[in-house]
Amino acid sequence: MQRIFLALAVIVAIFLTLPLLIIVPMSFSTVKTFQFPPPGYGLQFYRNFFSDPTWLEPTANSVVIAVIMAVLTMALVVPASFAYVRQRFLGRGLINLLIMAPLIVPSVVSALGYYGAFGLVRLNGTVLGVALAHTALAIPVAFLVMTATLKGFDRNLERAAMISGATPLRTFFHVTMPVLAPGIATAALFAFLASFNEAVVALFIAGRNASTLPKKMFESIRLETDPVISVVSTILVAILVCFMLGSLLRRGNPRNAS
Amino acid sequence: MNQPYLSIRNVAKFYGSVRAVEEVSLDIEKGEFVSFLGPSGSGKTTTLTMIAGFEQPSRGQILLNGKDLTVLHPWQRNIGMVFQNYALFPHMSVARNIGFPLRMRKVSRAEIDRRVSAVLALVGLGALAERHPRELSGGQQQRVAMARGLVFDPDVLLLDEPLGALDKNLREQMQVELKRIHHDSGTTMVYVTHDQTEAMTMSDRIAVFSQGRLEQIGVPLDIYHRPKTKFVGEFVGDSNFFTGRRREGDTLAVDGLGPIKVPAEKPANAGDAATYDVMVRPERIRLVDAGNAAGLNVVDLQVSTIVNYGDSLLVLGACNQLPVRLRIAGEFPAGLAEGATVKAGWSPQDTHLIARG
Repeated sequence: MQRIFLALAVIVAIFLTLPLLIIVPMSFSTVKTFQFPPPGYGLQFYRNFFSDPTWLEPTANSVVIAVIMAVLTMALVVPASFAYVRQRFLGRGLINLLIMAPLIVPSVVSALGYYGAFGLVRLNGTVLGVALAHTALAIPVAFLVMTATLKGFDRNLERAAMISGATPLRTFFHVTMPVLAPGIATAALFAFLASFNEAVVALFIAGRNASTLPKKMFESIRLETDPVISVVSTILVAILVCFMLGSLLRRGNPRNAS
Repeated sequence: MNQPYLSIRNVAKFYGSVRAVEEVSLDIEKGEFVSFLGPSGSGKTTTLTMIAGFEQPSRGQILLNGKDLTVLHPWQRNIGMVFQNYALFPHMSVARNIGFPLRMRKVSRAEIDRRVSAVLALVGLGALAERHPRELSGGQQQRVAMARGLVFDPDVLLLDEPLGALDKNLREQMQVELKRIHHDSGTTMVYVTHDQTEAMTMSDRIAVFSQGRLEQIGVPLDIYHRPKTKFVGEFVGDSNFFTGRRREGDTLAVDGLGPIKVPAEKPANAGDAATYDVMVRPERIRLVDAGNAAGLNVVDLQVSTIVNYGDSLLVLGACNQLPVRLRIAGEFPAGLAEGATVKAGWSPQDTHLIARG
């Protein structure tokens, strides 16, 4: 029975990574078409990407927007999750539903809403506008991660700190935050990725001045047949693989074993 | 007379209509090891929590050296605490965990190092200073928790069922260790537990709690041999309880057993009380025959079950349908078998009377 599950797992893994097996070789292609397999291999398109401002600018925008919104999201979500988990107040259930709402609304509907609203306050086509919209979209996931983390937090740790002489403020900085740090980092990472990958809302409200990487990739596919797009994908995948290897190595280190 | 070190006076705690603690008063001397003993919900942990300052009494006072403790926040009281789940800071090494209270008190680096080393030696964990809590066993974590509670020389150390998560052998080992640490440090300790063996072995005095009230406070042997209420007699140690009425001199008529000889002195709270709870400890009853029963109270016992612990026997039976328990140490007596009827006897001095209100 184990063998059958293993075989199924391998098949699913192959299915999921198959697109990469096409995209990665394509990024090293020598011709400016989507011909697969590529007739030759070289670094031409990598050179093109790193010297082309019409690609580099959206990439930089995506990073800046993702960083701004990650900070904003966490600044809102951390206090909110504390209030939600540790206090009983009127309307608590309703507030939870409202915070989760962006998950239920289809992206196109949200995008249209932001386009209209931002048009009134001249936020369309601005980095700030995209960052604000992405913050709202990422809050539900970050909130879920933070509340789960907080619920698993042992409050005796805080009592132990207080009886040892730490005021509530010092307890928060010396004990609560350091212990919550991995959960906070996870929530922030989820927020960052949500923004970095977000295409639909960006298409509507980023405009030319705040164009993001997903927006540029979508336009590139529609308007060009340039394999440079596969360069972007390959770089993103490579970064992800580095993250995963790094995290695996950290957990393998006996110092960090739990 | 010296004023007591830690004084709890008429303290009560209500949560809405729930009376978690009602009218508890007791005094603790400096350097004493006092256990708060009782079942779940008896108010022992709530009382401990109020000494720590995590809850405020609804009524009453808590004084330390004559000064009101309840106006101080937990972080302002010079009190240490050991939690049942240890509550060690997972992101700090053993040394930094223990040094935490000293860092909060702005003690110098050199002094912190010195005192942490000293207390690590006290609890027997010298070599583990740089390890992290997750690398330690349960017993080791417990010692680190104790070290952290003692390092700043607290006025009182509070322990909330600290051995609950350990297995039996380790628990017994740690009980001895705790007693040694208490002796070596001289710190006043208040220990909450539901395990009466633990309380009996470690305490200078035991305070028995039930349903928010203090039933009795006294030295372990007093609690054991002279319980003041039926609850204490039943909760601490094994017991037989009967009902006695119509006492004349040293004879008491006990329901189901007939006339029983009792100690001549009246129990302290008796008055001319008509009814008594009569307690006889199972280990004070033994099997007798006509020859060796002189002066003893003797009853006919119908034996139903015998439990063999290896080093002793628990004999469960009935006399006139009243349940009676005996504990016999040592070898299996001849003539004892399940279903048999035997004679059981005990000395009148081992009959303990508690007057019923």
